[in-house]
Amino acid sequence: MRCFLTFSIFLFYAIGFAQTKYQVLKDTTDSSSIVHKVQEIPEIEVSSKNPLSNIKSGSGGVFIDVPKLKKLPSILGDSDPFKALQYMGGISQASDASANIHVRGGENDQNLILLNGSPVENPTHILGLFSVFNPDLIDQMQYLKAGIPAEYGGRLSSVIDVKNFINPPLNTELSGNIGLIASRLSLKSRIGNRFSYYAAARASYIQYVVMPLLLKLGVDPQLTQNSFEYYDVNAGFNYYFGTGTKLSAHYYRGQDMIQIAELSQFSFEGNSSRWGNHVLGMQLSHVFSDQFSMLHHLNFSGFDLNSTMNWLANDYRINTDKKSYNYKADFIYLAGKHNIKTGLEASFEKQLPITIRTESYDLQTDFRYNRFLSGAVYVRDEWEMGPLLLNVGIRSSFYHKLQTYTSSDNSELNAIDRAKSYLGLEPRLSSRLMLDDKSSVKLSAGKHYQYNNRVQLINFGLPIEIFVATSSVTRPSSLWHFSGGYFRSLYNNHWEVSAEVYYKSFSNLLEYGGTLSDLFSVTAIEQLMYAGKGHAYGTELMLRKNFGKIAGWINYTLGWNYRQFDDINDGKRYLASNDRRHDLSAILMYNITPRWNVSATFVYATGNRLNLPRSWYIIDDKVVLEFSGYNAFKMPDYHRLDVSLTYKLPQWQNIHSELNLSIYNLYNRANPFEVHYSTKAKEENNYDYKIAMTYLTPILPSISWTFHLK
Amino acid sequence: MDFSFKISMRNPHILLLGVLILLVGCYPDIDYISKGYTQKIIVEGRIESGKYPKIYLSLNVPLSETVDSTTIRDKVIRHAKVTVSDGDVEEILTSKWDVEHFPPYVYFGTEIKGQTGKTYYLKVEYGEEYSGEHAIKSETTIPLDFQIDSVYIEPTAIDSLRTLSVAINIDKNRKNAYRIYTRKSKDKRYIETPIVFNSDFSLDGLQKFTLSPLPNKNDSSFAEGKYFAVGDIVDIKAVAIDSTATQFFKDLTMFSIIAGNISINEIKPLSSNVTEPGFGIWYGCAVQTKKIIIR
Repeated sequence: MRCFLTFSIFLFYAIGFAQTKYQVLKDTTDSSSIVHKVQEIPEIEVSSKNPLSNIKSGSGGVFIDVPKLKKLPSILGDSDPFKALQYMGGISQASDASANIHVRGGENDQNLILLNGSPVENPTHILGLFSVFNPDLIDQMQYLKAGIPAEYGGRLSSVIDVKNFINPPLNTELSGNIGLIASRLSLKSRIGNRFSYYAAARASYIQYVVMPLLLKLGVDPQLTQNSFEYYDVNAGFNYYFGTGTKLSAHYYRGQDMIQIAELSQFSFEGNSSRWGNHVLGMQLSHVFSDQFSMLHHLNFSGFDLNSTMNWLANDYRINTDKKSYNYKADFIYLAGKHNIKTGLEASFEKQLPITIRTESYDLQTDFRYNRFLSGAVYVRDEWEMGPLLLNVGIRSSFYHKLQTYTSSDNSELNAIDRAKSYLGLEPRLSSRLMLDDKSSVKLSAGKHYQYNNRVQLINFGLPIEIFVATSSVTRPSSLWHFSGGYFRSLYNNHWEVSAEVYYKSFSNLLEYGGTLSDLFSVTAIEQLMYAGKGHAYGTELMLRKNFGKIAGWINYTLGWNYRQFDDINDGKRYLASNDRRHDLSAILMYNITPRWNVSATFVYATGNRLNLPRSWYIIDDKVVLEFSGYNAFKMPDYHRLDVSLTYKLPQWQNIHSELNLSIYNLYNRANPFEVHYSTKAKEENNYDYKIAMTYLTPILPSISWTFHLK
Repeated sequence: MDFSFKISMRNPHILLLGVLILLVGCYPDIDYISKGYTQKIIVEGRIESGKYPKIYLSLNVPLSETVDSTTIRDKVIRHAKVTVSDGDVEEILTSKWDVEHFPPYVYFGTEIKGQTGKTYYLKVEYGEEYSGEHAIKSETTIPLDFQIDSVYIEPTAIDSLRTLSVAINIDKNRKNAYRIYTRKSKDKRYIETPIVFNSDFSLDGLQKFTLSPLPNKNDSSFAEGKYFAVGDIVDIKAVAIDSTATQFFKDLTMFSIIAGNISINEIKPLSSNVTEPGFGIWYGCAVQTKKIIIR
């Protein structure tokens, strides 16, 4: 953090805006904080020791200390700050080996995930085991779960803002990781004082290295015909014009590939799927004066999935696609105790809900690209009045769906497909009142609109989701979110406690209401959507120790999460699938000596809700399952303890290195990855149908050696 | 230019172990008790043009109950009173074991034969509980007659195997779908090409359907898969069903593929056309057959 500050100050001087009154505390591409006032410096002093302190912060979000999160033990020995978000309060992990994020009862598609300001649709690689963000490049992460300021919009529940390459190195830096599954290499450098750039790539090669090894170990050759691979590349640059203007650009392309030779368990064979994100963005920032600065974003984001699978001796092709073109401008004006920010954004998006067709085109879905325009203007004022910090804003969002189909004699389709516009007013308010220099109270309220949803079709690792845009029949999803909390530091800021409560009221949430075969019999995907409402409420408690040989925190959330759809569960209220009554995460870090340190993480969460059958019968020679009430079944509770031990080896010449031993799932808890129904025996006339679950990760030790050459 | 260089290396054996576990997985049973089980009479009944009605009755089984090849017979209903009527004539069906089918007990008629375009009524009475006003009822109409226009035999990448297609002249206004079965001379039974692949109410006029029968390991033609061997004699049976039955069997086909396999939002119950507490389908079929030799 100290380096971060040092560099920030350097950057400040480098671009010629050194003033005694103001300091650039973060990168200028961070539009939320181009310029901060000098009176905030004491807070930064605190956060340099304690980057997670949020006693004084104005909203329900935190800047995440990326290096600290990287030290936590993680699956397969790889540190992933994005995955480590699950240890933050309010976030619940969907299941084992999943990076799906549900914030305070929200759905997975309600999180605005940004990479240098560009939206990222699918944030994970390979069944959620890795995030798409290259850990070598992440310099800053911000997580907002409440009090989301007016500059953010389009998603209901949270903002996760990842920033790469905020801190260009003073010298060329090459970093890499070579592993059995994957390797990565990244280069950060500069040419002169003005131009800095980076390039990074990651790729896995399981089928070339791991699979042959598995064959030699005598693993079933059938299994080794399966492959899971991913790659991603990142590149970007920053250029300082020397007149207070900075131009930066970033590019990301990632792809996942899964090939499954045969899975009799899943009744299909020859599955081959590819999917990935495509992100391209450019930012231009300019600081006009001590008081006024602006930032322009130009973004392209894309996601596509192509899958082929052989079902019942027929080859199927499944395809989803989404492309988004976005322009955003932010203007920041500092006037006395006011920090005023205003801006606008406009987007054009086209998305293919899903297509499924047979190889021979005997059968195919009729869905076509939905195209729509959206935009927003906003203004907000962060106003500090002594102990009171107010952030008041309003966002006006606009959405216009274009007609997709040429007019037909299908009146139902015409009614759904007609061009339709919506306007949404989104007032936002957050406040922080310092009761004394050690404690504060925060309140926030906000209205949010979301015009674009991803509705899950198959929960099977593959991101087979349907893109559903708001139309004349599917109205915009919206949320009222109220939150409040008490924050207090204790013992000279060594300890910190907080208690927060929240209430969320969702409207027009969507669920897929058809069967798989219905996809072939309708023309517009909206015909298969159910709309309903939901509400979630709960309380979050946090205890954290910031300094000393022992540091760490405990987050506990007690929450309720309900849904109510006219067409589901006979219209009665039911528990949402991501309802988590109890959710606890605890982190402990202990510096035994300057060379030895140990850390441990523990997570506990009530199991997800799901639909399970209560009886079965046979008709037309096929076994059919009959289900009980919606989400009437609860999966077993999830809990896991991970530990990590690090030893800093003595320096040898100019090599710094450390040895790390980590054990994932120390007490070998069989946490459910998914639940399915199975028969124990394969022979005919055995109808011993059972509910069974798959667990993915038993106790999993890993050891790693990291070294730095300077 | 000053270079700083850092490389970290993970232990390969641990990663290997991780991948191994990921690929193999584990399947422990979990504690599960069926909640809210209610008994249903499962009805599977059909009447084909030119043939007598056949009805099979059984009970649904709680998921927590283990059933083997002996105890499964307790779930078969053998003492029901099953009545079929065409509006003019009413017939109480007789019954017998039918080991080729599950449930292995059939109620069949000897008097009323199916006619295309005609409506038939079903009534099932079972014990005192399900009789009189509480009897299970349904009705169906056999679709109008149709024709198999032509059969196509086409080569595959393998010299000895062919694909088979049939062309049917479809009248869109009838809202019928077609279940198509094939029986190879080496097999004992008709095997269906899954209905979901050839039913679409927007189709009109002459339509060609590629046949994809799915033999199982007990069928002699298992190795041929969806193809047909040169020299084989194949019986083709095409069955027209109405839109209610089409929806039922389309859902059933997909449901049975999905059920037990993939977690999907596939919890909408099948669209039964049988009154409660019965559940299932009573449907009429207009049947056309052809016999061909694969060349």
